[in-house]
Amino acid sequence: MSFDTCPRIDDAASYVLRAMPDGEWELYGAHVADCEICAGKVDDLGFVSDALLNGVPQLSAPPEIRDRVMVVVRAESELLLAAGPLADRPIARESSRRFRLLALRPWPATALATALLALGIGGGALLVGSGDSGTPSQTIACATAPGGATCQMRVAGDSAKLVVAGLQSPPEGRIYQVWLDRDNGTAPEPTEALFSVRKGRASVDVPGDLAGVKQVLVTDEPLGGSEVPTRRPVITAPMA
Amino acid sequence: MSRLRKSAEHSPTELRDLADEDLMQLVRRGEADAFEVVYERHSSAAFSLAYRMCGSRAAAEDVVQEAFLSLWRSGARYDRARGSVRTWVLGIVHNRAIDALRRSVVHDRRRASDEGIEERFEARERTEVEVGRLDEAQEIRRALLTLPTEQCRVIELAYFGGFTQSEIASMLETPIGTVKGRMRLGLEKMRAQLGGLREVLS
Repeated sequence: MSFDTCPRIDDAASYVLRAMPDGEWELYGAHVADCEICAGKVDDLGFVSDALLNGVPQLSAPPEIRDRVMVVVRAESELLLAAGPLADRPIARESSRRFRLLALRPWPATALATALLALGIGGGALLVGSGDSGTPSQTIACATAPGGATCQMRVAGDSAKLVVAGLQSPPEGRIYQVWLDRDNGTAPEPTEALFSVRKGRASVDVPGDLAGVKQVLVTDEPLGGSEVPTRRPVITAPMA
Repeated sequence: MSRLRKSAEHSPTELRDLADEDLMQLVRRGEADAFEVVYERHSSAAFSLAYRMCGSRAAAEDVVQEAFLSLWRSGARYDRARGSVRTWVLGIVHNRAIDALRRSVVHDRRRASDEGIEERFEARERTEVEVGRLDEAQEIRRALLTLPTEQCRVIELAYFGGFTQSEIASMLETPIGTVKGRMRLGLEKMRAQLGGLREVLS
């Protein structure tokens, strides 16, 4: 005979049905990781919630979704395959000297920095060069990034791109979101730039008006993004 | 695993013969052709779930597109020990749809559904596997519908409507503890009825 000895076991059904608000859902998930009783109940009831996913009336997916998805997938696949084994190469610490030398030669610096980033090489230098259209560009190392990750902000004219490598995927059920932190004492502004990583890598256009932006932040947020940051930034990228 | 060469070395027919779990190993390496087979196998189920939750074709399309791109980019996180690829895919779709519903734009219009979409998009050609899945889906729906109305309702509102337990309690003017109890009782009854499907769905 067994007894339900955890006072939170009644939350198991709400948890597997995702009927809790996001913050509460994650807290209970953390509790489940430490509570055998609740974990057993979640496993037991989770089978039913999984079954429910399969129990809806079946329709055919409109073909245009496939076209849209596969265009992106094929483009990203080509990039990944072109990178070959370099895509997974660990960070080469000894190459920082090369990186500094490149900073002394501004013209090819942007292209070479791109190549170095593909190798997973980080650096703290500010590189100045020119974009494809001749627009002056800067490549700025992020001020903070998780251990093992490299991160750069590429600024050209009024556009910017955040490029990261070696970054872990966001936690289950969350996604990275980009924020604009202006130098005016207000809270960071949310952007629609939500991203995950592929083999630790991502290249994200920073949307919005960048005038007056002091730094770009990245936090992990519930899927779909948030209006205000719910976590501390994992990346801080100065704009100059 | 010797049969898992790069997908460029597999013909489309060979790829289609691979199990989902083997395809996911190729997807992890960035193989688009393998991903396309995964998409073909599960996109209709994904769209069906998204449409069931969002209630409009446009919103369901957005959810499915986001979910599959997320799946492509996070393929390395699929763990076969935690369930089938299909359940993993549908779990991602479910999470995306809940997020979309809670962002409210979809929530407001989910019941103003595209009338007649079932006729316009109802799947026509069925493989043997799909026929089997249809039978399973009907069994699951039957199990849900045999629950007492109040238990069925809270499960539907939560799982397919994206409402939180507090919202449901408020909508039904019922204490939150009662809502939680109904969810638990309903799921336990369904578990008893669907026990035979556990192997099939895992």
